[in-house]
Amino acid sequence: MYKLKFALDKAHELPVSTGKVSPDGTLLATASTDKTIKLWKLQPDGATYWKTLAGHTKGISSVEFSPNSRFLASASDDLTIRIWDLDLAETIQILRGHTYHVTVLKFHHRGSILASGSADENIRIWDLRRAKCMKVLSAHSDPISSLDFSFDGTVIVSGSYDGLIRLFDLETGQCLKTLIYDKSGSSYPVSHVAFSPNSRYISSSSLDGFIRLWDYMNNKVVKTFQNVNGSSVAEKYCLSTGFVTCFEKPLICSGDERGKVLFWDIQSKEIVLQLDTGSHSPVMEVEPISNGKRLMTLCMDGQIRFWESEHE
Amino acid sequence: MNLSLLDPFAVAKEYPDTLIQTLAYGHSTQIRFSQKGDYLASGLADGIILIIDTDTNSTIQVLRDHTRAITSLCWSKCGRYLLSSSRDWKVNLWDLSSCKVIRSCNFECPVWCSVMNPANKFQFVAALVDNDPVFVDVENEPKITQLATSPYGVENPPRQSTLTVNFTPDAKYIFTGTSKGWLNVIETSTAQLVRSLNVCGSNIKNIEISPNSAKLAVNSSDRIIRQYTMPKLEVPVGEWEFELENRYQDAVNRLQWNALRFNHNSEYLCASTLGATHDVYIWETALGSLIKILEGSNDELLAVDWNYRKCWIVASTMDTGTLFIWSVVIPQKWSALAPDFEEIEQNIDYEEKEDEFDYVDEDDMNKQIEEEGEEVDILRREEVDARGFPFVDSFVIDSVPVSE
Repeated sequence: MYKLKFALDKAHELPVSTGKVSPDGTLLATASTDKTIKLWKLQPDGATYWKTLAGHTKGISSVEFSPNSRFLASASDDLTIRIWDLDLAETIQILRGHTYHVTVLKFHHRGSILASGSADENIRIWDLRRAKCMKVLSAHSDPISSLDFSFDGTVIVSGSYDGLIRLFDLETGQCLKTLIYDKSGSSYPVSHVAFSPNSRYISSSSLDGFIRLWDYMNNKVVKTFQNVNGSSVAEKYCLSTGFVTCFEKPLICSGDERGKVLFWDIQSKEIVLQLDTGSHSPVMEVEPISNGKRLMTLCMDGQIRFWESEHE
Repeated sequence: MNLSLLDPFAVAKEYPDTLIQTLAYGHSTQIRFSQKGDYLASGLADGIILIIDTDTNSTIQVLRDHTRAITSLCWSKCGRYLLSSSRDWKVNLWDLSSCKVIRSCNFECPVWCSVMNPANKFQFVAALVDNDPVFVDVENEPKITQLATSPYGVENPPRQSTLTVNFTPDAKYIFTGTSKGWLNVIETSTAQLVRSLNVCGSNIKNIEISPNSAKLAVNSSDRIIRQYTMPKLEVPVGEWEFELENRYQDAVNRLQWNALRFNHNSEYLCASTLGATHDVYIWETALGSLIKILEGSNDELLAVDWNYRKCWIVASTMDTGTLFIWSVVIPQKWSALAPDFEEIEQNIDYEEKEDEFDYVDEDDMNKQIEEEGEEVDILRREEVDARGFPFVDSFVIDSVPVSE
């Protein structure tokens, strides 16, 4: 279903930690433990180096484009979040407040609010217009691994190494609900969470090797996705998942720890496609672009691949 | 989506009751929420208009062109355009994608108020000081049509001027109010006066039509708000009936009402007061009873607006122009913090369930996985939120992070 369009290897000298495609599809940002972010201009058949954003004093673990693709937020182990103006290639804000490594970022769809999660176990909500922290959501007891906003921007879901998935009300900062999967007696760290396109379900990856789809209104898991022959998807690394909706049947996709990208039919839970990235390292990021018509994959060894769907 | 997870009793409250915040962003003289309630436009005494994001309560855009106090503000349905009138004799149409004036119209006198045609952003109606009201089309060169003030079908009416104007929600008619207490109805398509109603003998200050087109409220300087049923707009104008439902007044304090707003379904009406008290009054419109007085302001209140989706009422004060925001405070549900927490009214005796401490083996998860047959739709969105308002994608106004 997907064919390789182009590859971008050795984006950084040191390992690449994360990469994101801008919402307008024209830019790629890659971040690395070498403390820099590199921006690449995307063409249909290749990526050309544009500029480097330097300023963080430690490695970077998350980057996020603003919804209008004009700004970039980056989270670093130096405890700060930087907001970059991409045209100027300069830091325009430094958000200080977290007391340990900042692990994950997410923009509100209107671009005026940024949510950040950290290894200090807190989530912070930032008003970017004033560069101020509006709220601190402290309800987890281990590092935050992942965040997402509902489509209307009123609910934040968070996943943490404490094994809990919590939903927060953006307006009041209250915890609205807690989900925990402890059927087998213990809860494994949650490595990734995401709202479904209609925000009725939440997908969660946890380090017991399963990806689960939650009907959070009814506190239950409605689908469980497993690797080939029931083996685990990921047990060591936080690998991202995505929803692919451009085909006849909606799919959920995630990388595994051996360089494969798996696509499950959401209804039947069957693997309908395995994409071989050619790498043998964990696939950190799988990012569907335009509902999955294109796809970006990023492996831990620094290999970045762009894929295009062959039919719709 | 948050509402469906909150305490349903708190979400079901239909009007605010608690002062939650004040905003001192300049001397505000006019306020108006966008249709979806995600932005608040605040017009200042010096002519500046602020666009405030209601999620962060910070100003995200500053619109500068007017040089005197803003007298009215009106959003387009889509949330992209804003019409403003000012004491500098000017009406501006702003495009909020560029935050620039895209049309402007100068008059030869100050403008009381201007209202955008709900069906066409380039048309508006304005009430002018000591002049007849005008219907203006600014799509190309401004085309100004004078509208009548003298009541329809009355011989030798006294000299009067139009003080306020408003469109019906379907945009077919314009309602205007005069200084001698007449309500005039003008047909939008022909710009002709088609009907008049004598409401009282004094100035009509505001005409409010509920968003669902069910009720009409007329505020006049005789200290009474009169509430009418809105006539059925489909029937010929000659057959319209204005039935007086309620009269709202405070006979004890002799309060003047400053501004008034219906809620979305016209079940409630709120009004800001001018006089000894500094409150917003909320009435229930079916029986006309006063149900809530929003207190907290230390100053007389001027403009008022109702944000239905967030259940906010905002009022601006006269002397300082500070904005007061009342809302519903929803308590934290402690049961939300863990899936097995339960909120109970009183202590209950613990009884061990039959299988409570049974050994659960691995197969339990496999059994659960086997039972996951249900259909899952990840694409189709809910149409309305828990308060019954549809989820709509509205225009997003650019918010630029301020550099340090």
